[in-house]
Amino acid sequence: MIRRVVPIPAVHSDHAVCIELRRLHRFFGATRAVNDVSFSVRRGHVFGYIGPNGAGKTTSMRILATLDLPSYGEAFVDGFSVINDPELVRHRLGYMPDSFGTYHDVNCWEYLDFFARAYGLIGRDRIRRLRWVLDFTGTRGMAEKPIRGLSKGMKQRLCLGRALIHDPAVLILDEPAAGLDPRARIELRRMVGELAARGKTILVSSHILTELAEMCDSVGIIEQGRLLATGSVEEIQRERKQHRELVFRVLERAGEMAEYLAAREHCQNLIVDGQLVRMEFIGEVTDQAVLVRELITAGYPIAEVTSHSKSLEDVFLQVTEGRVQ
Amino acid sequence: MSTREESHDRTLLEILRGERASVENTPAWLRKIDDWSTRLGDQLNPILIKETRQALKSRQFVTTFSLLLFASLAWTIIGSLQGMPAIYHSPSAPRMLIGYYLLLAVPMLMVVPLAAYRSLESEVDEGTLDLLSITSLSPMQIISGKLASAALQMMLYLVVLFPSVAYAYTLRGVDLPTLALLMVMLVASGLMLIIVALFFAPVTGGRTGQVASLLAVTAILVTSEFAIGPVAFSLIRSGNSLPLSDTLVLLMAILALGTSFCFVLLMSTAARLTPEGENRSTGIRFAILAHMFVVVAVCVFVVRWFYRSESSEQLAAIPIALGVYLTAFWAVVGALVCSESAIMTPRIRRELPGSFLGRLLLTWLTPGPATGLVFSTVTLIGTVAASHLLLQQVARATGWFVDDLGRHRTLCILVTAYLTIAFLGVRLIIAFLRARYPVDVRVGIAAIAVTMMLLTVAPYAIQSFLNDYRTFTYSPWQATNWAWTLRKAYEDDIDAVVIYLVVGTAAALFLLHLLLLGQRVLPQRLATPQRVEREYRRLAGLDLEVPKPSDPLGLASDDPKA
Ligand SMILES: Nc1ncnc2c1ncn2[C@@H]1O[C@H](COP(=O)(O)OP(=O)(O)OP(=O)(O)O)[C@@H](O)[C@H]1O
Ligand SMILES: [Mg+2]
Repeated sequence: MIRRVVPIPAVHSDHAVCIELRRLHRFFGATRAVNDVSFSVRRGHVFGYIGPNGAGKTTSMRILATLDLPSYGEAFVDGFSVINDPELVRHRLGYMPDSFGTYHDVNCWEYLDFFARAYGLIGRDRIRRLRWVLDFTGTRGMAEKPIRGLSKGMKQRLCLGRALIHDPAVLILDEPAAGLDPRARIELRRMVGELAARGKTILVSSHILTELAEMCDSVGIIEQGRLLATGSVEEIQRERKQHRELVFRVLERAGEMAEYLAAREHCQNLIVDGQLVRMEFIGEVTDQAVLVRELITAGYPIAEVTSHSKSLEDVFLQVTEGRVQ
Repeated sequence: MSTREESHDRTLLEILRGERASVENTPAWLRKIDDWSTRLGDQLNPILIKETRQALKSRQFVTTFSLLLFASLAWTIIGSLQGMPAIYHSPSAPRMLIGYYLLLAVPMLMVVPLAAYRSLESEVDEGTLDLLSITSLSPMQIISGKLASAALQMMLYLVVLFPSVAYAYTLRGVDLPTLALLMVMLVASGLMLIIVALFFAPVTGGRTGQVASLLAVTAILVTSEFAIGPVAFSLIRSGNSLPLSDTLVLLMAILALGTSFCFVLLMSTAARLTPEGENRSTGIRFAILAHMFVVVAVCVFVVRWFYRSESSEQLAAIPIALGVYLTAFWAVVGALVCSESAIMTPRIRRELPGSFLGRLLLTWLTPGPATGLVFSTVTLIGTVAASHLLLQQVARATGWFVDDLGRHRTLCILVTAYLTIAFLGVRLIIAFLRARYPVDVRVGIAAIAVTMMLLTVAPYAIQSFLNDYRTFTYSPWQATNWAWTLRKAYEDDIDAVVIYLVVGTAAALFLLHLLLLGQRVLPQRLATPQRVEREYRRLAGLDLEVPKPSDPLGLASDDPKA
């Protein structure tokens, strides 16, 4: 008979919104690292936090992890304020920083064991939890290896394991995919997916939208401390695809139609190429529909309309403007 | 559940089954010992466990340990051979012991404190402190873990030398109480030096700060090595001439002073590791109050204990030293306390005293520069007055110093008044700076230095200028010039007007500060949100309504009954 495994009494989240930033500001002197950022993540959701270098991702994540205080605004984890109840936040939060220091003369097992003890896990619960973490992150084979000798990817796994050791309800992962090879990235995606399926709320940051697109329920794009867009990847894509290339194939009067189009507000950079009229269209999809209908009612013999949407990367580049602080 | 999850749960179950099988194969008594030691380990500070594991693997520890072992063996052989014929008939313990002391003092008073310093500093440096501070460990636990692991290493070094010391004892010439005293002295100073080293560690800000604090720590360690050495040597050579009871009283007094001071250091080290949003101040103020109480009580007790007859006049040195110590202590501590941040997060306000009596008595322990100023001034006045009263007692009893009591009182009053004015200056400067820049508490030290400088230099410069740079004599115009005024007071050549002026100004400013303080700086207690209170009760195991625990292993579905 197998003795029934008694799960570690983890902190159970009873709030629907697990991560919430309310008008968060963090200034370092004149630098506005985080400037009026608000968003919330529902329980069990994965939120991708995307922005270029220096956008303020790490800063806002550190505030959520109770390692820093906001200049203005508030942040909540599972309904508890990071300013006023940091202990309660810490109980339910696992944080994986973008760069993490290690100790000399410590192996992986000892490292995890130390943090398990530091989170108050005792006795067999601790051993069980340690084994679970080693298995989950696939680090069992290197339990006896000294940390200093680990490769970047191995370190990332260990660090994720450390963040999971006390079975937190909320996870904050700061660029977990940085420096990982493609296979490790897929593995990471699997782990994040599995954790989310187990009801963990996850905030994960990256520089690259495509990297997160698959694993996130929604994303936020931040630049220079400002949140530029939030929503699911499709929503953002749809919203931002306003700026797209339209190509009409008119059987005749192409030049006239180009003039007609040039006079309209949404159209730019018109090029007439034989029967083809190319242009950039700025506007909603509904505007696009209106335009096509108008063209047809105006009697232009349109044979074909093609519209090129932009890739995720283009969307990201378009949302952010590449300013560096 | 995905297949992957299933397989992973299966491996887990296999592991657990394996664990059980191996547990069943081991004899019961071994299992009991294992269980017991696991339970003991769970009670220990995790940092102690980690650092001990680390130390046993670290090159620094292993090297020091083997060097010490080797050196003690070498000295045992060389020292014994050198004193060879005499060793059989004349007491040779002191010579051997001095060698052992020299060997032991290096690791205990230098290496271990420096290693503790390095250990905390590298946590700050490498960012592991961030990871630690978001665990359930409190800053105090982090510090005490460091302290405990350093103490353990110290004990290991001591144990290595124990056989050698026992050998030296058999050579006669040193009695057991002296040996015990020596060991207590060594261990106590080692512990205090570790605490001092830890205190300096996280102060570091940038490279220059690091170098500066490393230099400071090294200087302190070297100085104390040279301060403790001679005491130890004379103890070894000539033994302890005091009777046992006196020795014990002195020892206790020194330990009490050291402990209470170290408590202040520990509290402030912990405070620096505590996030800004929390109350970092009240603990330190309690520690300061306790230290003040211990210092005054120890002085009173020592004076009473050692008072034998009217010829015990050298006891007057104790209250005088006490006064000097208080002045130095409060110049630094007062400056720090008066430059605290005035920010009161809801978190801090929740813990403010709520009752009328509590507000009356405990408000001065709540964070903030305004309460800090009142706290510093009141405690300063109280303790300085106590030192003067003690001196008065000694003087009355011995008949010595009676004529100088008035002078001492004037000096006490003036020093207190000047310090009060300086605290107000610090408060003003810091408030001014803080409105523009983020200001650290440590700037307070600079602020008090500037204030003290201005108080002396400004009146002197102005009068020099008005006097066409010719020399001039002291006049009440130089009342704020504390250096000159105190000197005059020391020479008993001072106008009562000056005293009234200085004390009156200090009192008036202080009262004005108290009045301005008002409701604005004495925030009311805030209620704790219900959900937070419930959560704390739940964590303390007081709430029976525990929500269903989460099921991280996903085993609930494996339950046949489910
Ligand atoms: N401790 C600090 N002191 C001063 N400025 C800081 C500090 N921490 C962050 N900053 C500034 O805040 C801004 C945001 O930094 P942050 O580390 O949050 O960016 P990030 O989005 O994490 O960037 P990256 O992708 O490079 O990690 C930067 O301009 C940075 O220089
Ligand atoms: Mg970052």
